[in-house]
Amino acid sequence: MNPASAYKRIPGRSRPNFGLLYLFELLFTFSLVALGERCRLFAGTDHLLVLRRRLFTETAHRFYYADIQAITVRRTSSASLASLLLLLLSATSLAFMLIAPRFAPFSDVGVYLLAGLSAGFVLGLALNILLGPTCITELYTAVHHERLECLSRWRTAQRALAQLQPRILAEQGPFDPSGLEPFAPEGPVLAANHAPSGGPQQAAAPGNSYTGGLHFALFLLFLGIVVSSLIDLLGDWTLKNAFDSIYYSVMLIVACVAVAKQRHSALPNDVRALTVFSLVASVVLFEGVQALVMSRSFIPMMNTSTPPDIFKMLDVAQPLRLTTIYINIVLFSITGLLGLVGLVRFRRTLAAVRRMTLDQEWDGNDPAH
Amino acid sequence: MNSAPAMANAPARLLACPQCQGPLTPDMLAADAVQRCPTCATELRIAAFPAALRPCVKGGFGDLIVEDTESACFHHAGKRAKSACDGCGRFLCDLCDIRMQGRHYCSSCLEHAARFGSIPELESAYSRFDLLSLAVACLPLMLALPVFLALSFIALEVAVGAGLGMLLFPALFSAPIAMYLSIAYRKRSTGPWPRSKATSIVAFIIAACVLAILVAVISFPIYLTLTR
Ligand SMILES: [Zn+2]
Ligand SMILES: [Zn+2]
Ligand SMILES: [Zn+2]
Repeated sequence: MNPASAYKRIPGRSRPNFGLLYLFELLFTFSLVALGERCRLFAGTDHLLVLRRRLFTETAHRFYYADIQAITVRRTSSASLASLLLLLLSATSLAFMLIAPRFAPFSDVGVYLLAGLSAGFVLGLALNILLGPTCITELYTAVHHERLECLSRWRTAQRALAQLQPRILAEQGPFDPSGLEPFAPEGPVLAANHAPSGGPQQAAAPGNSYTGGLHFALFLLFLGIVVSSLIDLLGDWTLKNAFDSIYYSVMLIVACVAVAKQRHSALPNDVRALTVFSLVASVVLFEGVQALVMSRSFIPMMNTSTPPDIFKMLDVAQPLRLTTIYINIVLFSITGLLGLVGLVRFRRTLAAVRRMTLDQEWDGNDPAH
Repeated sequence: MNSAPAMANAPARLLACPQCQGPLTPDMLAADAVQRCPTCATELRIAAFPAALRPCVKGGFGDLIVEDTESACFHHAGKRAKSACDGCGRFLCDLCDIRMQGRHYCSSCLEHAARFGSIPELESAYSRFDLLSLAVACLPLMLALPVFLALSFIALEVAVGAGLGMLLFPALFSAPIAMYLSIAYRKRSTGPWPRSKATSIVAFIIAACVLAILVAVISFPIYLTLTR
């Protein structure tokens, strides 16, 4: 039997649980365990123990240091998306807290609860920023390939790797990368095209040569919405609303085509995720705006019967409109700017890759002359 | 990809970006630092180990018996025994022999061990009674809290009343059960790794608090009638 001291805790959790979040989890153990497995790592004397919990049962998987072939860590953009979402939620709840009591009867407790809710979102946002960027960590053995969900934060994964690497190397001896040379693809790596159907001319962008022009237009359209929302704050004009509907429709079409085009492209993950996220968000918002426009245009028609509820609806429509404008400004300014930054960075690397490929082609052609 | 032998797919896998499967160079792996994939520009760190370069060890099929004096495998009469099972002592041929941590097992011993936990390395499932007691302790709170929150938008007094009403009846059962679970199973082994007792203690405290509220709410009217 292993003594308890034989296992050393490796940093990393599948979900952060400290402070308020831990309290929340204590209260909602039932609902949170239903959301999925939790995972933790322990370093034993000769193996790495991956402990997963689902409901009230823990399952242990042992990976012997002698069998581990590689551990790979790659960065993802989930953290920035989560930050975006949390920013949006906290901005919305704050806006609702400030706007709603002016238009509808609202108890003080409701306002306090909304304040607590937005404080929670702000706290979550701060926590997310504190935990840093996200990543995907995978462990490879000869027969197995396992994703370690608990190492989903870049910095934590690096710390865990720093603890695991010496243990594995102590078991297996030093790694000599020259043994990999025979397996390296021939020719310059940058020019190599791994897509089987692609011709040699598509070297810079594997898959297809789409460089994100449509995404550029989409993110510029997002910034246009921000400007339009700022104008909306000044007043409510029917002509402007009609124009907004057309603008939204065009943007939705562009977003749909962009999502379809990015599938086989070399666009970076964060730009792809932003595009999908903004498509979903704009569909929801579009529906919301349409519902609002319809409800406002129908209320005067129903005035003949004048049930008292319609006046209440009128009261709700105004804060809803303000909230929508608020969300539009926050959502589209952030997605637009983040997307443009991501695209510019992507194009810069693409240009660098092209330049290097050209240099290599030049070097290769030189002796022939 | 060049003509790499099928056996050696591990090194080839190391030389592909885990994000986009684009090619990487061996010196990127040698550096063991954060790098960018030349194809998709994803930040990567690949820690490779010598096991990746080790050829795959093939298991034997079992040799045929040539002489009469040789002992045969328990399961295969025609095959030569190479080892004995460390669990039951039966002779095993190369095909039947399962090696684990330097010991030999037959398949039935391994299956038995996995089911009854006689080999600690094979034990893999553990019950968490501390979490179960926590969940049971929190159950009435989970029922009461949404009601309280929803009604508190209207009036605080109504919300407190309705919340308490939701809390009391389930608490009558859940609090004693949670307290029993956290005490009865406090010493149950949950694996050889370090584990804190905090969950059990928190479960007990929550259950005790809920029980205290229950007793207070029930005894208050009785106290009022007695003093009158
Ligand atoms: Zn890549
Ligand atoms: Zn046996
Ligand atoms: Zn056999």
